[in-house]
Amino acid sequence: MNSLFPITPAHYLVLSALVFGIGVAGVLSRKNLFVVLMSLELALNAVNLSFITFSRVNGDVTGHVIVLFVVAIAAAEACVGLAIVIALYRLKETVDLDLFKSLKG
Amino acid sequence: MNTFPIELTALLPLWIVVGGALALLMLEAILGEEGRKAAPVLAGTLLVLAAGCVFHLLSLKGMPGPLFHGAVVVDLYSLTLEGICLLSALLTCVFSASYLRRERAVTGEYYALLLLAVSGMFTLVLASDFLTFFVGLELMSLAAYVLAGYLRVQERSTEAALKYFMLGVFASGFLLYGIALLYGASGVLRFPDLRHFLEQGRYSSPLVEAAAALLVVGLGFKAALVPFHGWAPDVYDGAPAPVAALLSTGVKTAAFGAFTRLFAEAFGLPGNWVPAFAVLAVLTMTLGNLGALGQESVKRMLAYSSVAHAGYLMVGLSAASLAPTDDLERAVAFYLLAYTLMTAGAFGWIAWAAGKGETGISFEDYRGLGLRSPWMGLMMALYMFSLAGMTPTAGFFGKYYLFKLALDHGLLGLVLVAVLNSFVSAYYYLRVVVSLYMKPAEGKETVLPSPPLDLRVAFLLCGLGVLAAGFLKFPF
Repeated sequence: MNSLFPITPAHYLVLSALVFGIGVAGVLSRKNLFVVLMSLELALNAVNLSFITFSRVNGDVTGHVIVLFVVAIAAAEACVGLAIVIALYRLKETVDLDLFKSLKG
Repeated sequence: MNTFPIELTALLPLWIVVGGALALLMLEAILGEEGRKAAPVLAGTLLVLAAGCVFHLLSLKGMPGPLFHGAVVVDLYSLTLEGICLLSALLTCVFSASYLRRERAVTGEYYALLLLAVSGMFTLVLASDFLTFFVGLELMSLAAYVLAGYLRVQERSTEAALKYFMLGVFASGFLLYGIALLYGASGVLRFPDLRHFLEQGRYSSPLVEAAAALLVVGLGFKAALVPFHGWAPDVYDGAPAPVAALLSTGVKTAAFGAFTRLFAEAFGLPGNWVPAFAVLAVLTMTLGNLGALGQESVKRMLAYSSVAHAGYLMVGLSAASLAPTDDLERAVAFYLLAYTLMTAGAFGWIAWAAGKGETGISFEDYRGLGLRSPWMGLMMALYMFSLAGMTPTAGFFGKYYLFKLALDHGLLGLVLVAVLNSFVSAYYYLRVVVSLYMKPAEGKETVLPSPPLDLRVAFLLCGLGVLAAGFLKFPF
């Protein structure tokens, strides 16, 4: 099968770009806070895929190491993000982004 | 004889701040109420200690240079930026103590978060490879998100945290993608290696150009450049005033300083990036100033002014590929110092002058206040004169160095726009002074309570700093 349908690094890079694009589109268009948080995670993990691919292509492990760092940072970010959402939910009882507009001008 | 490894001594400020942050987290858990009371004093002491280390390192003859296999670099530029971040954190620490008492929100973890943010700033300004850069940026930002939403029962503060968080992570995504593409093109992460690689010229240019564009977008979000600035006024306005002081000075100093190093030392931007940076500079200055013109709240005016000042910094950065790296870094560092003194002072002044829940911070509320509270009025007037760029103040010298750098390298049109923008900005800064001194109070004639000793020292430090900074011999 491999010879019929070879998967090259380019495929991974295109996939990574697509997933990153989905993440960005999700952040820009969605109104539900949780979906936005998931989209942010999606974007970060798409970049991880790029790092792994480049690491394989370049033949050194630095890219793998970076991915470990990014995974840890993304986990910390998810914690802080969810904490902020919970704090907001306690005040407003909603997770709809459009309803948070006390800061304007 | 120095028997300690250089890695330990040259990074001592960082170790102090990281250790202090972890200790402060435990302090309240172990000592309870006593720990909570001791937290601001301990945090302040540690910051002063770290500042002492930075000054000692600055006074050394030779600089340690790259450490940890080039992951960090300790040179005059990074040490100067460390000093500015410490100044900002110390001022924030002093402003916070009375502010948090008034808002009845005193906890120990506030100061732990403050020190964690500072350790992120240190990592960021020391970074000499992309991994350290990213980790430092995130360490700083994560602590800053929490600090922005610190008053979690107030809708404004929490909402500011949400906006800051979402746009911050979004920007990190772009930045990281840019780093990934650069890594893919070059296979290296250290700034000098990348520079070497780019100078050889054997690379696929679409990949590198896409990476550069993504990095500029990342910078745009983090430094609040128009058109990526949407979050900044809301966040600086919604966050507690002392935190706004930290976000608009320390965090910005670290981010802008590190990006300057990145573009000047790693990227060595080719000439065709000058127009892109110049356009960002013009947009940021002009829209920042226009936004500030119509504000009624002084705090929100300062938030927009922060955007405009990022624009002035971009004027200098536009010359990144033309000017020698040393000159650029010196001008940027001096501007950041001047900006930190005047902006942190102004936000701290607002924090002290406001009522509970940050009421009474509009131009109208300050009518005649300068005559009734002469010392406090004088301090605010000084900060405003400096922000407007009046002659003997640090704000003037900062702009002078930046604009001169751009002028020396042929960016005349850009400098003209910048000077015109400075004139426009004088209107809203001087409006504060007019309110303070030239308008009689309507109704109740409020007098500001006399600030405690530590606050007086902080205000005086900013005020004298604003007057003296332009005449000091800069360390490099």
